[in-house]
Amino acid sequence: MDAYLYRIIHLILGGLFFVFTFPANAQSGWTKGRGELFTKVSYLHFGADNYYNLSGRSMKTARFSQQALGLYGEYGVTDRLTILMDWPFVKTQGFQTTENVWGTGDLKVGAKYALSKKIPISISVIPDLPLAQGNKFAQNKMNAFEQINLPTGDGEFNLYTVLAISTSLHPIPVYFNFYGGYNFRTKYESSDLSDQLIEGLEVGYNPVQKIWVKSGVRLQQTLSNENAVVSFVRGEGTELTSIYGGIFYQLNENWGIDLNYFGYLNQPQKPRNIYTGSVFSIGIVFELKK
Amino acid sequence: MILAGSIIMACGEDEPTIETIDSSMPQGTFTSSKSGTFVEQNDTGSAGLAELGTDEDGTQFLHFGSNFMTNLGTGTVTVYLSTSDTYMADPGNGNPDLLLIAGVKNNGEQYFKLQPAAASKFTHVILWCGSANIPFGYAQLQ
Repeated sequence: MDAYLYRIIHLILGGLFFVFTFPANAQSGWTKGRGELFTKVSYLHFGADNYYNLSGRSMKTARFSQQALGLYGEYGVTDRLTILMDWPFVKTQGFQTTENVWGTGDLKVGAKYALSKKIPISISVIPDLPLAQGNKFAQNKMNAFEQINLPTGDGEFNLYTVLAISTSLHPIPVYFNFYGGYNFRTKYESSDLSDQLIEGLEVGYNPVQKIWVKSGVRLQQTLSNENAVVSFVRGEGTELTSIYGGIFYQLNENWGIDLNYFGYLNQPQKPRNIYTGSVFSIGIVFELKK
Repeated sequence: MILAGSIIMACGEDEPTIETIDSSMPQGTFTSSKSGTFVEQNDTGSAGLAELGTDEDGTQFLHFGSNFMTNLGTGTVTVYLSTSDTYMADPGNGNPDLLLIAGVKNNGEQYFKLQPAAASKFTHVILWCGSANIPFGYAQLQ
């Protein structure tokens, strides 16, 4: 892989992990070289008052906000096998009408394997371990008897499988990623949660030295019409079209800063069971390369 | 609130039993004076019977039938009596169009004791999610 492209891949690795349950790291066909390390610590802020319910109807609610600190890492065990982890170790969230709840998020630990190196194709298998408490009730500020369940994880074990293919336009410093994933979900208490499909496209560009930009679109569908009635934060029945863009600035050989913005569209996949608003994140990247 | 007084009753000469009276529940027969059916809002599945009436002691109660249901997967829902089908808060003037009744955690039959009795101007029951500030449903009492 070309040097610039090798670096640009890192841009996509940590940007999405707070916002989406889908592991962003799995969405490229490239894997890391043996002994190489990539880590990122990020802060994210999200706020919105526009909620789409399970029927896809938009409604204004009290403002919901979420902040998170997260750790993302990956390590090349061999040139074909990369292990990775993704953990929002602190999350806080609440409505403007409630207190905020605090906790950890769920932990993703998995592996990505290069099926082909010449044409970069990878498959990732990533268990999502329910480390977070399954229930966290936020107390209403006005009525002491009123509360809302805002768990910082979805309360269930689930398993992502992602197939990704990448290509570059070398010598033009541009790359493309195409990916599709299946999220096998299990249960929250007695509620069966629905499996999900995920597809996406991403493009990255290196316009000037030390700066890389990226942008993408992602769609998610739920594979059931019988959605369990659970708190919206568990993502049951959630469907969406998201867009994102970001910029990475390389400070030196090992360190960099990553800024990202995420938003939502109403087409082609109509939003369901999701708050749509702007998401901003900033991350500090550390990497070791061979 | 579940609270009670106790009465000792003699069922047999040597075997007195203690009957607990739940003062939050109607004493004797509950008689409905107005009733209505919940209309769901925001796809919350709200449904079932709501009744306003009195027990044999003349105490007023709001009663939800055994078919009452709403989406409680997110936590609690607050019950109000209202002068219309719309939640119209006016805290600066003491919320004259609303009467806070209680929070609901479960579906199914339940009674809410109204003491003092609600004013006759209240014509609707409203289910309100105060955390998200959205209505879950209403029932017109007639």
